[in-house]
Amino acid sequence: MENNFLLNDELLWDYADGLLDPVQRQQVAAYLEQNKAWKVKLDAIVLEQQRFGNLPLEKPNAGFADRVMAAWTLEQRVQKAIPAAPDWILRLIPVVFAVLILMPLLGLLGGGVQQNIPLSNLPFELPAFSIDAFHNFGASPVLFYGVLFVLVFLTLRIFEQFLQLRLQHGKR
Amino acid sequence: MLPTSVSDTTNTLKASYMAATITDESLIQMALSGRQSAFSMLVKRYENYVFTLALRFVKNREDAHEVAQDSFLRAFRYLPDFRGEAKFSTWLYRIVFTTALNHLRKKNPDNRSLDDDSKPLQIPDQGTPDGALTLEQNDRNKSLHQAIAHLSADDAGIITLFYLYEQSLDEICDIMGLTMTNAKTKLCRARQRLKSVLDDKFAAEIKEWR
Repeated sequence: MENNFLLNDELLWDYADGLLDPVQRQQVAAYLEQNKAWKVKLDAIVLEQQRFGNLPLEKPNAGFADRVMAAWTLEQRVQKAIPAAPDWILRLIPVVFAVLILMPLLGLLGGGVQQNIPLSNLPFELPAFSIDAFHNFGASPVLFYGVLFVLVFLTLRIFEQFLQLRLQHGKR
Repeated sequence: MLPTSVSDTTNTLKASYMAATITDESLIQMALSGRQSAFSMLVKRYENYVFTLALRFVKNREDAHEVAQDSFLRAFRYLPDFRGEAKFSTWLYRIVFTTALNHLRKKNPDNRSLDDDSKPLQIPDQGTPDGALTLEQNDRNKSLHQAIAHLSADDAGIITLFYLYEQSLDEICDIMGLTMTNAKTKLCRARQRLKSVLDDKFAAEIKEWR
C-alpha cells in the first residue's frame, strides 16, 4: 500500500458506485480503515445512493397501457390491410429505371460514334445506334406514349410504395 | 373492469401471478407468435420505467406520455429484430433514449444532444417547502425528484439509469451510445451537479434528513 495515496470526493463516489479497479479499491478500503472521517463521508454517500435507488417511479396517467395497446392494435390492422407488393415488382422497378437511364446514354454514345467523334480509347466496342432515332422520338406516337405510360405507371407505383411505408411506420 | 365474483377474483390473481412470473424472453416469444396479451403484459411491466425515463429526458408529463407511447410502439415494431444480446430492458431504454432525443430535436432543431449546457432546460422553481413541516418520506422523495428535474436531460437520464434502474455502466454505454470513459465522466459530472442542486435549492431539507 502506497503511503502517498490521497482520497478525494470523486474517488470516494467511484468507490461507492463500484467503478474502481481492484487495486484502487483496495487502496481506498485501506485508507478508509485508517481515516474515520472519510468513512463517515462514505456512509453518507451510500445513504444518498440508497435514497436514489428507493425513489418511487413516476406513474403515467390511468389507462396509458390501454392507449398503447389500442394504438398498437390499430397499427397492426393497418399493416394487415395493406397487401404487400410482390417481390418481382420491387425488383423490376430498378431494372426498368436502369434501362431507361442507360438507353439515351448508349444512344448518345452510339450517335457520337456515327458522327466520327474519336472514341478510340474505349476498351469495348460500342453498339451502333443512330441519334436520329431520338430526334424522331416525338414523331412516333406509339413510342412517345408508350414511354410516357411506363414512366407514369412507375411514378405511381413508387408513390404507392412510399405511402405504404409511411403508413407502416405510423408517420401519417 | 372490477371482478364480480370469487371466481373472477381468483382469475385476476392468477393472471397477475402469471404476469409477474413469466420472463421477458417468454413474453417476447409469445408476442412474436402474435399473442396480444403478451404485448399488453410487456407494457404493464415496463410502463412506469419507460415513463419515468421519458420524463427525465423531456421534462414534462405530456411529452413524456407521447415519448413513452412512441417508444413502446417502436419496440413492438422492431421486436423481431431483438436478438437477446442485451437485456430487454436495456434494449427498451435505448429506444426510449432515441425517441426522446428525436422528440427534443423536433421541438428544437438546434438541439443535437440531450446534454445542452448552453441552454439548460428550465424547470419552474417550486421553492423549498416550509422548513417547519416534518419531512416525511414523500417530501424527501419529492425534493429528490425536483432536484433531478433541475438537471439537464442527459444528467437526469444517466443518474436515473445508474441509481434507480441499476443499469451497469456497460449497459448505459449501450443505451446512450457513449464510450466507457465518456459515461464515467458524465456520471461523475451528473453527480456533482445533482449535489450542487441539492446544496443550493434543497439545503434545508437535506439538513433535516441528516
